[in-house]
Amino acid sequence: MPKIKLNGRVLEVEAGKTILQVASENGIEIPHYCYHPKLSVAGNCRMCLVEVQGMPKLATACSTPIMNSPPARKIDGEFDMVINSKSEEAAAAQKSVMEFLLLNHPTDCPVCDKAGECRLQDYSYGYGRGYRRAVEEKTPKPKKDLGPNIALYTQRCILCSRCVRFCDEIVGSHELAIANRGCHDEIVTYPGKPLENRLSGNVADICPVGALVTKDFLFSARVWNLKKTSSVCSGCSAGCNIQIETMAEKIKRIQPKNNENVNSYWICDDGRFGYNEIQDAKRIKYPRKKDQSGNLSQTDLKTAIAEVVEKVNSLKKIYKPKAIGFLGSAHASNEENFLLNKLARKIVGSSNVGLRAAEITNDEVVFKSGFKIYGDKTPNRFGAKVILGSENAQEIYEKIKNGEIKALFLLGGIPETGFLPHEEEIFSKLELLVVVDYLDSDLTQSADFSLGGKNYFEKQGTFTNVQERVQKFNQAVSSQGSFVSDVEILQELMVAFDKSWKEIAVSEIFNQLAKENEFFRGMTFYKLGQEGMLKQ
Amino acid sequence: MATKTISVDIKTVKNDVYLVEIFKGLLLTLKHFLKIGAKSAYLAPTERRAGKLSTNNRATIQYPEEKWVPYPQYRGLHRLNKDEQDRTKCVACEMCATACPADCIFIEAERSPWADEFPNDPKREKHPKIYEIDVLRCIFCGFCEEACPCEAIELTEIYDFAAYSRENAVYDKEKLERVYDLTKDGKFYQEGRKLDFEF
Ligand code: SF4
Ligand code: SF4
Ligand code: SF4
Ligand code: SF4
Ligand code: FES
Repeated sequence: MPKIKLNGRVLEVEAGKTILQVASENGIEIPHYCYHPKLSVAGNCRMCLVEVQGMPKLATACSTPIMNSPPARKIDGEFDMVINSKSEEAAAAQKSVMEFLLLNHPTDCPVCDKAGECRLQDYSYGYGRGYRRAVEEKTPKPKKDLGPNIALYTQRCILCSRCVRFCDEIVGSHELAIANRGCHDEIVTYPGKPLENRLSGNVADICPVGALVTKDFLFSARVWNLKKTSSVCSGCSAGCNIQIETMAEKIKRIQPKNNENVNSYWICDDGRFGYNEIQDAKRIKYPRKKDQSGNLSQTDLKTAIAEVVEKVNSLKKIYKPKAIGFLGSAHASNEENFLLNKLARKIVGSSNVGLRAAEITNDEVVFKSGFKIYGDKTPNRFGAKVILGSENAQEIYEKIKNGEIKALFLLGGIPETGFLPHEEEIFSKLELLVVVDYLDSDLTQSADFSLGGKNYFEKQGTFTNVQERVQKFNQAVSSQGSFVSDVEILQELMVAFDKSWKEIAVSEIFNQLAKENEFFRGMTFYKLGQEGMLKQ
Repeated sequence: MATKTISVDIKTVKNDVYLVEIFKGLLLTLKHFLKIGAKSAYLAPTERRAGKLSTNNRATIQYPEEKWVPYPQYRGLHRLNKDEQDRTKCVACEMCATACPADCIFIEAERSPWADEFPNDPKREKHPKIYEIDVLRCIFCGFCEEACPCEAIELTEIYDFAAYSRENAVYDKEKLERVYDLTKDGKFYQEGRKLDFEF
C-alpha cells in the first residue's frame, strides 16, 4: 500500500483511489464542485487543484489516483506521494477559480434557496478573495423552466455538469445538455422535451449552487431554519432513506439520505413531493361512532373503546371468538401489526387474521444505475406478512361473505383511499366494523367505530422493505390537534380487553416483537441504527 | 508589574492655594443657578433642534400635548420601505429575522405579483406574504436594519406606540408599510402626525 503525506498527515492508503476520495475518507477538506461520489469524474470545475510534489503543475484531486513510486524515486526515501492542498500555489489557484466562477454570478444569496447550504458561499468564505475586482457588466441569463418540477436560475449555474451526468448515468434519460460557448454556456433541455424523469428532483440536491431548484420548495423556507428528521419513505416498498425537513410543524421538503444498502443518494419524485397529499389529507379529528340510523357522532376514545369491548364480548358469547376478524395493514408499521396480531390471537383468541394491502401496481421502473421504483406501493408488506402470518385478506373476505365473521378490526393507513375494491359490499354484512385510520374516507365514514390515528409523519416505528431490511421511521412533526397514535389506540384496546396488558413505548414493542418473532430475532430498536438491519 | 512612582511638586503657590479653583467651580454653578429665568437658558431638545429659542424657559416639555422629537439616529418603531411604485422593497430573505436576537420577526415568502416585470432580477421575484414584528419582544437593537440587504426595514423616530392588547402590538406588513407612509419625510412629530391604526 502506498504511503502518502496529505497536508502533513501520513497515511497508508489503497492505490487507485483518487486523492479526493482519500481526503474525504480521512476528514480532510479539499474544496470541489463537479466531483460526486456516484457520478463519473468530469474534472471540469478545477476547484480541487492540489500541489503534488514532483508533478510539474497543480493536479486535480478528483482525478489524480494514488500511485506507488519505484523505491529509487520515493520522496524523503519513504513517501510515494506528498500532496498539499494548502500550499501557497494551491491556495492561489483556489482563489483564482473562485474569482472565475463568480465573474458572472449574480450573488443574489438573499433570495437564493441554496443559501446556507451552497458550496459557492462556503468556498467563497473559505477560499475566495472576498471582493470583486472585475468592473465589467455581468451577462444576464434569465431563469427558465426545465420541467414540471424543476426550474433553472441560469445565471447561478457554475457549469459543473453534475446534473447532466446525473441524467446520463443514473437515470439514463440524457435529458440535459450544455449548450453555447464561453460566458453564454448554459444548461438546456432538448426542444420539446422537458426534464420530467421520475428522479428529476435529485438534480436540485446535487447542484452545488442554487441554479437548479425544485418548484415545490422554492421560496418556502430558508434552509437554516429547517429542523431535520431522518426517516424512511413510505411511498413504496423500496424504503428509501430520507430526511424530512420541517419548520413550525409543517413539512417543507424531503431530501434523500445516503444509505448505500438501499437508495444511495437518491429518491424518486413520488416520495419527494408526495408529502403534500398526506399533509393536506382530510382527517378524522376525533373518534367517531355511527348509530343505528347511520348518523356519525363525535365521541371520545375511552367511551368508544368501552363500547367496542362490550359489543365484542357479547358477540363472542353468541358466536365464538373466531367470529371476530382482524385485518392488519401493509401500510402500517411492524409494531402496529404486532399489536393487532397480539390483540387477535392472545387477547380475543381468534385466529382470523389477514393482511390488507393495496394491489401491486404495474409502474415498476428500473433506472440505469439500478435504482428502482417498486410497483408495490406499500412500505411494509413483507413485515406485515411475517408478523400476521397471512399473505392477504382473501380468506377474511370469504368468511365475512359466508357469515362466519361478524365483527372486524381493521388497520388503515393507505394514504389515499378508504375502501379497496369490493370491500364496501363485503363489509356491509358485518355487525361491527372498527377502523383505526387517520383518513376521513368512505371507509371510516361507514365504520361503526372509527378511532382515528396519526399519519406517517407524526409517528414512529419500523418498516420492513422489499429487501427484508428493517428500518426505523421517525416522527417529524407533532400532530395539530388531539390525535392519538395507532399504537396507543391499539394498546388502549388491549388494556380494555385485558387489564394485565401494560402500555409500552414503540421501541419496547419492537424489542418484544424481536423476542417473539423468528424473523426479527436478534434485533433491537437501538441496534437498527441509521442503516437498518437484515435478518440475523 | 512594578509600581511606578510619580513625583509631584506640591510646593508651588498655585497648589498651595487650590481653594481658588474650588471657588471658581462654585461660582460657575452659581452663575447657572442665577441664569434660570433669563432668556436663552435651557431649551427642550425639540425646540433646540427646531432652532427655536425657549419661550417658557423650562427644561421639561409638556408631554403629550407637546411631543419630543428624537435625534435622527433614534431607534423606534419599524417601517417597511416601499419603492417609487409603492411596491414593498423587502425580498423576504429573512436576513433580519435571522439577525434578530429577540426572534421577533416572522416572515413567509411567496412569488411577488411584480415578478414578471424583472426577468433578469431574481431579487424582485420574491416578496413577503406575511411579515410580522412582535414589538413587545423587540429590543430595538436595530440589527434587522443593519442586516437588511435591500434597505427595506428601518427603525423610525416613533416612540409612542403603546398598545392595549398583545395582538395589536404585532405589526403586520400593512401596518409597517403605513408607518413608512407616515415617516418617509422624516417629519412625523414635527407635523404632529399620529399612528392611525387600532391599538
Ligand atoms: S448559488 Fe450560492 S453564491 Fe450563488 S446566489 Fe445562491 S447561495 Fe449565493
Ligand atoms: S445547474 Fe447546477 S448541477 Fe447543473 S451544471 Fe449548473 S451548477 Fe452544475
Ligand atoms: S430591532 Fe433588534 S430585536 Fe427588534 S426586530 Fe430588529 S433585530 Fe429584532
Ligand atoms: S426586511 Fe430586509 S432583511 Fe428582512 S426579509 Fe426583507 S429584505 Fe430581507
Ligand atoms: S472536483 Fe476536481 S475538477 Fe471539479
